[in-house]
Amino acid sequence: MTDAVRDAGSFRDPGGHVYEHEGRILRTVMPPAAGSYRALRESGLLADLAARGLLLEARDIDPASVKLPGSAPAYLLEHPRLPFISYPYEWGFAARRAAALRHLELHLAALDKGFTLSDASAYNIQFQGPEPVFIDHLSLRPYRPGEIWTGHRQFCMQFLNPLLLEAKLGISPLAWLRGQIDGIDTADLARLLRWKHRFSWTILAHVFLQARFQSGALGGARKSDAKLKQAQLPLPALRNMLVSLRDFISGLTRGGGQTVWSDYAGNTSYADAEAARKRAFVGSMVAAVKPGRLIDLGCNTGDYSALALAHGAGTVIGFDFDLGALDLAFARAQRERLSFLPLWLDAANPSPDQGWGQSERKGFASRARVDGLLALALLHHLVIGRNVPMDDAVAWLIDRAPQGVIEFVPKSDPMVQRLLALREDIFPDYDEAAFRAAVLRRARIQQEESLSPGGRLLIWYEREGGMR
Amino acid sequence: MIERIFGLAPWLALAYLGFGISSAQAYLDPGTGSIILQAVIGAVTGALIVIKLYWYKLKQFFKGDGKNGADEGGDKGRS
Repeated sequence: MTDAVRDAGSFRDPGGHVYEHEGRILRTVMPPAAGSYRALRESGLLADLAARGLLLEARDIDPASVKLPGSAPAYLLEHPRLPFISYPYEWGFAARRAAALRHLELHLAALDKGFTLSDASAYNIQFQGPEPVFIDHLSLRPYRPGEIWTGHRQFCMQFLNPLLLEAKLGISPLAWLRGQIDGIDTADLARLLRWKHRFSWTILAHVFLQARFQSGALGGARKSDAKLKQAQLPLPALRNMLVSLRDFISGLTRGGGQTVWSDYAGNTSYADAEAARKRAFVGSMVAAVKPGRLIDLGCNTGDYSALALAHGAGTVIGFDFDLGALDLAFARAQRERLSFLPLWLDAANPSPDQGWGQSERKGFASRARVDGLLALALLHHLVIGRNVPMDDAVAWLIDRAPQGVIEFVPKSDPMVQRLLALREDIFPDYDEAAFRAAVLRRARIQQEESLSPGGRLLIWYEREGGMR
Repeated sequence: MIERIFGLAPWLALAYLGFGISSAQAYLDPGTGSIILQAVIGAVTGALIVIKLYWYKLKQFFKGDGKNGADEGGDKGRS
């Protein structure tokens, strides 16, 4: 029997950890947290939250059935494996707002049954399609009468502040969140927001006052820690805080106006007949491969993701660079109840391995190895837009999945011409032959189709050696 | 509303007694600014609820209505 391996991101809470064992996802509940967990289970809250889709399902299994390093846990839980682990620095505005609202909804539901949340980490929210789900059962614990909301500061840093930055100032928080994985400091946001923003009670209290109290406390007037520890927040006040944050956040919309690709309908450069052939080609690949998980790189508003789902893909994780398109894709996934999660990606600079030990948060490359790939109208953005050599770009794409469709857009295409409009053409080798050769170096061509003479080319590749 | 007011009494009593919170499971630092903000919100909410309670009692007195407040509804009582 092999040992279970602890997830490198699960170390902060001494109450228990997440392990992976032979493809299964397990969670230990250590003796100090056992009483709290037992109370939680007996209250019926866990089952209730799971039934409402707010909390990831879990079932108790025999702790002796798996070899775990370290001391024996009091309980061992098994969770279903999520299709894809995403991080807050990959979420668009709509996804972050949905995650924040789900967090508040879960907290309110817990309080109704006498429980609360010990933290407010955005990393405890994951997505199943566009549906956010809370994954950390050990964050739930019995509520102690009058206690303050311990996770309030963290909620602000990881949910509220990034949302405000985007909604009120039109600045994407993604680069900031990637650099500072604990979130955006409230004092920093208070320095950025303008005077007019103080007229919102929520912003005044949670940003300006909190920042002022924090800096005041750091100055000479610091209250004694003992006194601070005795601070009280009556339950009705806590509940009102959560409800007013929920109402405020649900009314936020993304600032920053229209983005380049959010008007995709008027932005395509090819004829309807070509689009129909492209759809048929992609559909036939997906129907034949039936990928459990498919990645749609450059998903835009999700046209081909939806098509892939209709042809038998289990779930689609879409990636795009354009925040406006991402929000449209997210809204579509919610509206049409698609098992489709659109996430932000700069393909020329994907999420790195980072955090503690550089393994707490895993990079894109190790997470994004799936069963099927769509990379439609993406390659020219890497090769011409970002100067990535054709061979390297194709290698990176084929590394994602054993089978998939890659589209080549020739230089004559208006979209490529637009990329070259203001710069020198230093890409004499950018042509169909070079593309085909790059594919053939690592895969065989299952099928190919030119959408028009000398126009766009679709290649359905099958990697040598199948799954890696 | 009235349940809320009665529900508040134990909190006020606890606050008066300076009841501290066990931090056995608190592995997260809540942050000084957040604690002070919440203490202020807690105090303001408490005060508002007490004022509302007396205002309500006063109203009942002038109405000369002996019924208790179980039928009062629609008060959102936001902080």
